[in-house]
Amino acid sequence: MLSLSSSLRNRGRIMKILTLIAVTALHAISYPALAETDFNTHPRFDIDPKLGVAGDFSGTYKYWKDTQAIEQFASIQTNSDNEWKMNGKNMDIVEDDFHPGHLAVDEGEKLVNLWEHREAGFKSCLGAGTTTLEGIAANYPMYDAKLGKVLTLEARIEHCAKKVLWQNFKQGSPVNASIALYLKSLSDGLPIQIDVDSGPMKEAYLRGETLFYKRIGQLNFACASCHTPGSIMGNRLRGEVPSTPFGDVSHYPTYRSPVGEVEVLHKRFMRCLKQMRAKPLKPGDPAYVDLEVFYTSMSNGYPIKAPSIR
Amino acid sequence: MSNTMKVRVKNKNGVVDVKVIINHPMENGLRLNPQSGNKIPAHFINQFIILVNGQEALVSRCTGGLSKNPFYGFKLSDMKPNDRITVNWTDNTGQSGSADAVVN
Repeated sequence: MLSLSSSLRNRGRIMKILTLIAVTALHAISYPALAETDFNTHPRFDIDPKLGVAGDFSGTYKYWKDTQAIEQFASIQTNSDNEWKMNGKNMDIVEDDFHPGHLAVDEGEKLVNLWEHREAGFKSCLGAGTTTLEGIAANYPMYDAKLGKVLTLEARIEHCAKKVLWQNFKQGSPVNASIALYLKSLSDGLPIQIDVDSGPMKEAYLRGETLFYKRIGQLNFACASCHTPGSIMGNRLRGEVPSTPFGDVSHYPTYRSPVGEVEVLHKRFMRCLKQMRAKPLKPGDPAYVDLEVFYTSMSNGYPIKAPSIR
Repeated sequence: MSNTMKVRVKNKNGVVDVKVIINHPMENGLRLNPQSGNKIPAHFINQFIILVNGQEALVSRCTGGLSKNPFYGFKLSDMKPNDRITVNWTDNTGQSGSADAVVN
């Protein structure tokens, strides 16, 4: 017993010395590298908000810019290495354009008409003054001067439900999502038009841009780590190939077949953050609103497709 | 909510392409509730019938193996314009739904 314990102690001493040597060696190697790399932000790209979707930095815009282009490049959809270049837009024109998203649109229409019947003024609140809801979704997110903040479409529905109906249609809930999808389907085919040139919208855009490049979570990932050229974009990330963030907003809220429900954009952000091993925020969080403004400006000029399936 | 369904028919030279989508949870009765640990009771469509002008054209008996919000697609031949297609479903809890479509 005695000899065993003494040998163990000796071994412990030797290990301590070895570790000390290793640690000093590591410090010597890694210190200069640490100083050179910025672990808080991803390198930035020049994105011109004036160009909108045409400013796509991935070089894949020509494949999915309109229906003709998507049909023309139909052959690359079958190639698993190049499929990401379609940016998922080939899903919009499949022949089986018949999915539970259509049911959610009907549900949303029923809800809007039912609540308008019970409490007059719901529609005019949704339309911010006008009762014609056609085409309003293309201009969201927008700055509301009366409320003094940037509103997304879901935030508008939540606000109107609280103000007019005394109901809580929480953002991300199925009721809110189906109404949002109904409003978006009324703007189907219209190009997204939001103005981020000045005022609070520009501030939101700049904050959203910062968030896009900000590294967070246990894996130290930014949005840009997977969705900018030179990163994982176009390469395999487990079973998937990340694609460009341009034009993505146009089909949200979308029916997600893996989840089996209509998903709003903020729920998608939550899923991304979970995969980045970061703590997801709640739908409607100001950080998500800023990020949505940035994402929507990257889809400026691209027609809305609703209802859609992904 | 559970009774919402949609039917779409497309006529192509007498062959009619029928597409049906049903809003249904399709619980197979084996899943556990993550919070309580209890089994979620089975709730799935077990009968799906297509009638053409009141006559049975297709009967499908199904179990909980189908996905949530099931989608049916099939073709019916020898169809004429103004034929009426009726879709009926019944589930194991006794709920049912029905929808009509007329061939164009």
